[in-house]
Amino acid sequence: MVLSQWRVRLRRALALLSMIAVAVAGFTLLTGAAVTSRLDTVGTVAANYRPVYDLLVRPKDAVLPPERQRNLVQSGQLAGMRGGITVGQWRQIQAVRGVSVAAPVAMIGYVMRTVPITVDLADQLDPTVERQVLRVQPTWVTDAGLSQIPDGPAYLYVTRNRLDVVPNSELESGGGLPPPEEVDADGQRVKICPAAPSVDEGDWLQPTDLRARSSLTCIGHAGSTDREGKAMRPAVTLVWTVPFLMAAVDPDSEAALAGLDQAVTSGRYFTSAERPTSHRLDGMLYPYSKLPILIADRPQIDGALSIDVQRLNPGATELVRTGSDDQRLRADLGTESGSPVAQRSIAIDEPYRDIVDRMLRPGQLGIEYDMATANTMWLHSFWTVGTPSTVQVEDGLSARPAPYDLKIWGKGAADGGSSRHVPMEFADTSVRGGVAIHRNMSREYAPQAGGINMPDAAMGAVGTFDPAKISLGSALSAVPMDTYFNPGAEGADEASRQALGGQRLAPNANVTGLLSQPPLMLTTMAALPAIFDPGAYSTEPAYPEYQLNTSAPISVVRVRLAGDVGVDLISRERVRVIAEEIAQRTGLQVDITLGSSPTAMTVHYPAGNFGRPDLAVAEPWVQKGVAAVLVRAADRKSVLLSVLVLAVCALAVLNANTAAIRARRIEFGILTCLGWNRRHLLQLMFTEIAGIGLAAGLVGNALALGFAFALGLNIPWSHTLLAIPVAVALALLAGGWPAWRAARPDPGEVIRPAVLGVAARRQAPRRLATLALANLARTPGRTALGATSLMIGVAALTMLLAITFAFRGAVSGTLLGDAVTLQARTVDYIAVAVTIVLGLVSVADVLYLNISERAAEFALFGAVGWSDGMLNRLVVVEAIGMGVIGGTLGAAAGLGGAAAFAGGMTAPIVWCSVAALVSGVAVSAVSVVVPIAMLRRLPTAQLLAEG
Amino acid sequence: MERTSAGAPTTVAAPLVCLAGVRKTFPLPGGAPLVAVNDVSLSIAAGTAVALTGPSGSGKSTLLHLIGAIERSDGGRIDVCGQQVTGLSGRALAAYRRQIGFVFQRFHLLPTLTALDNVMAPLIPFRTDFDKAARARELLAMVGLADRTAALPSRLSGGQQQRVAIARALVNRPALLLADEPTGNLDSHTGTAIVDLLLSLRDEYGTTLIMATHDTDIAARCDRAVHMRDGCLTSLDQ
Repeated sequence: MVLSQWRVRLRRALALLSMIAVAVAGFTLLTGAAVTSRLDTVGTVAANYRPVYDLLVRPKDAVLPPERQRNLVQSGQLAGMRGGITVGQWRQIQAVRGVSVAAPVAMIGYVMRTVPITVDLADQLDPTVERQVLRVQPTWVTDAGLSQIPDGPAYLYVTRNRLDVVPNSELESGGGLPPPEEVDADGQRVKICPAAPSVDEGDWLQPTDLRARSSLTCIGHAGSTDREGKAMRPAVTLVWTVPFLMAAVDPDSEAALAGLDQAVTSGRYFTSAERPTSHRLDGMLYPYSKLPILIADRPQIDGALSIDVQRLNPGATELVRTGSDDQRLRADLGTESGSPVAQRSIAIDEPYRDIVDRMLRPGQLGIEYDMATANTMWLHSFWTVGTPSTVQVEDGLSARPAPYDLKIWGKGAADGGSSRHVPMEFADTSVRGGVAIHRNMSREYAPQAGGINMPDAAMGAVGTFDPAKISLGSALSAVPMDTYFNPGAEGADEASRQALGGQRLAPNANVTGLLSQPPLMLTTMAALPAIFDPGAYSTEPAYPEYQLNTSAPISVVRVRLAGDVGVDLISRERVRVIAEEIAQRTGLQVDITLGSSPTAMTVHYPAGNFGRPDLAVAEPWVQKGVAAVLVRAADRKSVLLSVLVLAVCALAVLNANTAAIRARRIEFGILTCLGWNRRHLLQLMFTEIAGIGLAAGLVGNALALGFAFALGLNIPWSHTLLAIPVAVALALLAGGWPAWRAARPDPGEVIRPAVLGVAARRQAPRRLATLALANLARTPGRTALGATSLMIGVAALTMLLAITFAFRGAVSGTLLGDAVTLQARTVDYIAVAVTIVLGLVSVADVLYLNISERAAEFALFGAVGWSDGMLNRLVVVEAIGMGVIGGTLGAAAGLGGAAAFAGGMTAPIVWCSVAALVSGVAVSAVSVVVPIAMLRRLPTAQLLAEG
Repeated sequence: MERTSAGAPTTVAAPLVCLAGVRKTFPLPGGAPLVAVNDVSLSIAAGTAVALTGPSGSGKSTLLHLIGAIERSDGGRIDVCGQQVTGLSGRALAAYRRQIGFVFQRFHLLPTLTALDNVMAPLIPFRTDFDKAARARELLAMVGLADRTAALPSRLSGGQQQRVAIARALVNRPALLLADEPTGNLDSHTGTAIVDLLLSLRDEYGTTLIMATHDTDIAARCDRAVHMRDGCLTSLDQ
């Protein structure tokens, strides 16, 4: 009986079989993929769980509002920090049980070091002329090439005549510098190169004023000597000033935390106990202390110097020979035109290495006396700057210009002397306020005739380290290691990325710019008193907010916990308890950086003065608690996807079975009339269903294996075997209910027409569309069946999209989250595909059955002269009607479910449901293809004739 | 095989229905095809009522389906109302079907529509220059169901259902009415009433009627009786 059923109703049995097979294959694939995806996610998270430090301890006032609001930790802010943690608090943290390393950073400030850049012009001279003037135009290039900052030019006057200079030894004190005299062939003397007149301090120019930064050098023929008696060379000297951010660390802690000791590239590492050593120079009245310093062997500053050499027109020589006012003469030379003769460019690495060499080997290099460079080791003064002045905007932060008086850096002068010991980049926009200078106060300083004002603090370089060798942990869990590294910031929007030409904006010499360099000089915590002790340095402006925080010099403490810390709940709880204990003991801000991942904070940087446009850059901040969120989200998503797809499959099979059994009501009625009882009917139906379930399981297993192979999914074959029992169980469970209902022993009820007219008389259908809708309304059972299929599909799709968006929303925006989202993409695609295919198959199935049931009706319409197009329209309108009803119900159900799941209705969820609704209606419209093809083959005559 | 000559002395010159050598076979699984209609030639004048008699399976229904263009013939030529039916397809075919009316043994009423709506059903997709409902009511009144317009088929007796079906067949004012065992599902009393109704249509509107029937009494009431056996015409009664 069962076999004959299958044979006679082969197409029906095949349709049901393929329905179940697709459903279980989808189920198997999706659960397999979901489990694999969850494992991948958790694996990725666990592999990138532990950063270099687990906790970050900061003063409470160092936390910015966006950090609190969005669970972030800022980075790149070290330069602006002023301390706030006492040495006692640091010791307290070290004493907390479970803390393995507590590594403090105490910010000191910026130290300026300058080296000369000699530009030799011998090759650019014209040997045929008696006198000539060359102009050397320096331009500083920074901000990924966006800023081009012209500096004051250096002029070189060269004569083939002798130049008489009063040697230093013959200078009378207080008389000012007499200008050199050019002696021509017939003995005529002309005073050239007038010296700068002395200017009152009040009239000094800003240190970046180009009038103060140009120079004029005059040289004569080979026999001429300078004031020191050395032979004159055709060269000008430019200077390169590099700001070095200096901080104190605890060497032992840094070695344990980041392996700083392993990163030493020359000299030696220092020890935690290393204090300043006391020295006294010959003739010096008091000793000075030398701080142990470890210097970064690379600058991490974006800067280059471009030098253009021009030969000025002959008229320029006359200006030099007749001018008597130094500043006016340089201004006049600036207007002279010339022709380019040479161009060269110097990267910052060259002068930086020079500075590091000078600091490592003071006094051993035979460096010529130079006001700018003789003081390599002395710590006359250092500067502190504030944090960037920002306001919160919609997409992040916006930095605001914060102008200040540049004379804080150097007093400036009219002659281009000491004012040049300030990077020209300082002339660019400032976004940091709070610039203060801290000057050394020589405790026993007593001016002495002929004595030099020496500070009592100096830097003794012990070695260099390579920041690239510092252990930073995995890229996906990197925490701010501002002590060693500032990765810069890439463009946050298309315009900025384009402006930066794909490069990152990196810190430059403008220490009041947005990005700050990492500390390039490190000293020991033990050496701090030499700087922070009251009376060591005096601060200007003398306001309290600029003063060094002498009692609490430490800016941050990075804490690493003892032992292994896993991604599991117990480990997380242990970390939380330790963090809380530190916070309670010290009253400081403690952030758990364990399980965090880098995220982008958009910061708007106002345009610079030298070509850099408005930029939106993405600073690499850190999102806290990402790992826990990811693992939770992955777990939840995996469970939800499995439940969802099982529900969809069950409902789809239920629907298909209901439809299949509906179509056989008459058959069951006849069997009942023939004396079959309920048990017989149930036996028949369950045997059929179980058989189809088994076959579907086998086909589903094969399908799942094939798709897994085709899609490159890593699903074990044993998992695909699951398809067989699932298919049988699904078929029996989903088929049970309609079978139970169909097996009612009342033959009259069973044999009554499937579609019973309702007496309620409404508007008669006068048009095809109305007829189609009336059909839907008057056959609620059939409509409900079709609409349910679609409702299931649309609700599932809405839920699925909501789950996917919720998952992405929960995890994206951080490097780790993005990596995980990328990993989870396959499973998302499979889930959407499975849901859509199931929806399509079940709607097509219902329409197919509909047409079979109403074949005679369609045949009649054909017989009374309806064209094929009209019949098609009838089917399409009915399908779309069903689609709209089912789709709307499904979207509403899905929306409700998604909102409950997401804890509220959000715009993306609403859009998801609309998208699902549209695709549902589209699916139902597409699904008419099979039934319409079937319409064409309806055996009209047979249907109409009496059998 | 008997050949028939076209036309009868009582009819007008041009016959309404003209069959020439019509043939229809159905493929059978694993055997020789079943010849349902074999080389049938027949001419029917307008306004005549023709009874198509013969045992079950003799090809009566198939012949009606061929004339009604529900089936496509395998050979021969069918002309109705001056159109060659055998060559029609697509829209022309659908338009042709609207010129004829069909009455089935099983009525084939749409169970979800009232009597009135069933009568109007063939017109639904079309625009008409007359009031569809008025015509349907008029036709229902004509078949004696003026008071049952709002009834659903399930509330109507077999005879009433067949009357609704006849009214529906007439809704396009066909010149030719094809009835396939219209009384087959009815008791003899009701059947007689239905035949009366069909014949009165011929009398009142001049509708040509071709009616397949087993019933010799009914056949006798028609103008002509054509007998079929094994797909062939065997006798033509005048």
